[in-house]
Amino acid sequence: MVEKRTIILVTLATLVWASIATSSAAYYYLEQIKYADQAKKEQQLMNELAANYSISATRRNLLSEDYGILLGEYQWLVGENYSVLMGNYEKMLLKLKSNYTSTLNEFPELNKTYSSILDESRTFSTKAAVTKEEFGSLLDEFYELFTALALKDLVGYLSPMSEIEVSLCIDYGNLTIEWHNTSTSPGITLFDLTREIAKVEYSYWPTMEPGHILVDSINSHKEGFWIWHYWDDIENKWIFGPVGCDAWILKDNGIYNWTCVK
Amino acid sequence: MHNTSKGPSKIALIGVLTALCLVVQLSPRPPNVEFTSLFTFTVGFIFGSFVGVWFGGFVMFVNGLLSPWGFGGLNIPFQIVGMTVLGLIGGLYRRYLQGGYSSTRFYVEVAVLGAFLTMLYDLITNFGVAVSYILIGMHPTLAVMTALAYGAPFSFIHVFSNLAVFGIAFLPLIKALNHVMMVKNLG
Repeated sequence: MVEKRTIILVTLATLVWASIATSSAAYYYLEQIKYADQAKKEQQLMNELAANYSISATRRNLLSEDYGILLGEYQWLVGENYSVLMGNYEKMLLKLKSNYTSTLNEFPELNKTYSSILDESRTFSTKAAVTKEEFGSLLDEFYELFTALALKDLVGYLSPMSEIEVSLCIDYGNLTIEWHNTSTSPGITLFDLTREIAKVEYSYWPTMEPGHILVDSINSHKEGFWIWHYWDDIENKWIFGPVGCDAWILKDNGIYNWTCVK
Repeated sequence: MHNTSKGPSKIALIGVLTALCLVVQLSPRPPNVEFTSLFTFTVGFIFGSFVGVWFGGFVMFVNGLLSPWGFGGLNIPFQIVGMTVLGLIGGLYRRYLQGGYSSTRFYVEVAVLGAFLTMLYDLITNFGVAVSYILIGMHPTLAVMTALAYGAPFSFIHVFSNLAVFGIAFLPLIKALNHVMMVKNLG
């Protein structure tokens, strides 16, 4: 005959075991659902990335082909007046806009570059004669813009897949210093990040290379010139920004600084 | 004369135990490895269910406010209720034991009882977590299921650590406390 106390003890032990086993099974089940859901979403993102990559590559190749043909015509043209090529150039420019409309709308500095090239090409179109140097310069500007747009386009598809961590310091030069530690999309430039976290006024300089943007004010502070630096991890010091802020692509764990100097 | 000296000694001993329990509870320790359940059960066992209930409730109230794991928030009432159950059962267990027991059997019995009460405490506090899920708009059934399921790894550690703590420490602790009480009473 089993004692009553033993039965109670065994019952309690069974209850403990049953409770832990049930909740562990439920935990395992929920975790499995979560991981399956995550895997499905990641697969969906990968499929979208593959499809978008294909579209982006086709778009880039078609425009490259047009550019290659026009460059060939430019290089093999007999004579000194290149105005005959202006029609094809403008067509190629319009094609560029129609293919990268959303990217141009998203990045104002690239849109300004596009408008500047378009104005320049229209000016040349009204001229009776266009020199080899003038047309060559137009082609270079087009190629630079085209490369920047294609890069932004590709990086835009990558952004839902990953993020980078960056730190930006804004030194107003009046002992007010702000630090912004943030996550952002890969491929973003210092100009894009600054616009994301602060109110920025800027001017566009078509002749400045690489990058055409000079920042005039950050958060309405314009008592001086805004210059930028990046932190060099190897030399452990701030390095003066060697290019326009719109041409500097941020790296993961990068540290950047805007300083207002008088 | 005897009764007047016993009261203050008892209160002093409960005060020392409360302080000791709070120090241990608020010290940095692995998650869900704790000695408050043991202390509460023991206080209930030695001084009766009423004292055990108040002891457990008070310690968990302070813990909810000052815990190194953060403010207990909505879960504080559930933690208090969970711990008072341990104090209550501690007192009831002593009454139930009035028939004598062998040491080995007692170790096992207390270990299993400790694990069961810990599981009960976890069920109550997980229900508190479920209430917070319900308040943010989750369906009640799903909230309870989710809270119980995601509490499982913590519950696992809690139950097995208390199985060991109760099994190993309860008998030496009540022996020590009985000894202190006896010395006080003789004095």
